[in-house]
Amino acid sequence: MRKTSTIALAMFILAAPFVEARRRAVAPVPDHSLAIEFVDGAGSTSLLAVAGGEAWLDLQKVAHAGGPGERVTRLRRRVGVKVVRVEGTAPGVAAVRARIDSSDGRASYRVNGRPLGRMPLLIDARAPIGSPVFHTLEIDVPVHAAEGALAAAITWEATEE
Amino acid sequence: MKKTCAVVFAVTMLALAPSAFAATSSGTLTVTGTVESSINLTIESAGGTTSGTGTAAATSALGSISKFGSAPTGFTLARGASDWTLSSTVGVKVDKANLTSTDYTLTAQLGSAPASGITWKLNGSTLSDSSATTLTSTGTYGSTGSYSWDIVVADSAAAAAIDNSVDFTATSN
Repeated sequence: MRKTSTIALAMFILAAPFVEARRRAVAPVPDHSLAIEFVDGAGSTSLLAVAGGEAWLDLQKVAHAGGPGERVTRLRRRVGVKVVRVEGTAPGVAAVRARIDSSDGRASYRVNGRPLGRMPLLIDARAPIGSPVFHTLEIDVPVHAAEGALAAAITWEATEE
Repeated sequence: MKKTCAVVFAVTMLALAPSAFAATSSGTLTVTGTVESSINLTIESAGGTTSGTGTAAATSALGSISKFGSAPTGFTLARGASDWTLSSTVGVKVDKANLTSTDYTLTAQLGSAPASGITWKLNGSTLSDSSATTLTSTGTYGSTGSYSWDIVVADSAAAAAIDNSVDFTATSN
């Protein structure tokens, strides 16, 4: 019984500083959580509107301009993705993934040559936090797709490594 | 004894447990646009010495032609009592994209009034510069249509250049 009590008391004494530290803290703890920002690609002629973690890419009119043998209308856009900290500028790296959240089915999408689907696709395993990284987004519209409105939502996720 | 040690260990581990958090975030890129239908016409072949075939702007040079001379490349020559005819074919292809139409109408019209004594024909129909002539109303997309091309020269026609152009127009049905 005495041995048990002694061990318990020693372990509580070791654990106590952490409890005491939380009770004594009066300064706000910096928010290290991440946020995603979009950056328009340099030299791009697309209409990319950016507002923090949201971006809108307007392809406007998409008409087939390829040769008779080409079965796809392909559009390419450079899009920058920047992972930032909500507060502060502490360095770090994050894994960036992208997936198709919704699509009308008229087009298929690729990032850096790799097709996007419903499952998250690892785009960048070690994206630096605080610096934009540019990616090539390709939109393919097959000639057999019906004319009409084209719409898709691509979700980008960043997780600190 | 054993029960007491187990309780103490569990309580201590709770006090030592670090305050862990997963830093993650997401953003959305919305892509919008309007897919427009389109058709594309190309001149695939023609008699004479051609250039630009496979495009929408092709040229055909017949060189010097005469009733009792040789027919130009890709042409045959038929002599009549008071005229002579050079005959060949013109290949025209129409492709479609993002279009549900199943066929098209193809017309042809001369770019300028023909020289006196010269008659231009496609598919057996005389062409004019004032109105378009329908070559087909059931054209098949992706397939090259071949249309007979005749240039009828009256013996009374002056010895002069007969240059002209034929404007093809394809309209989806």
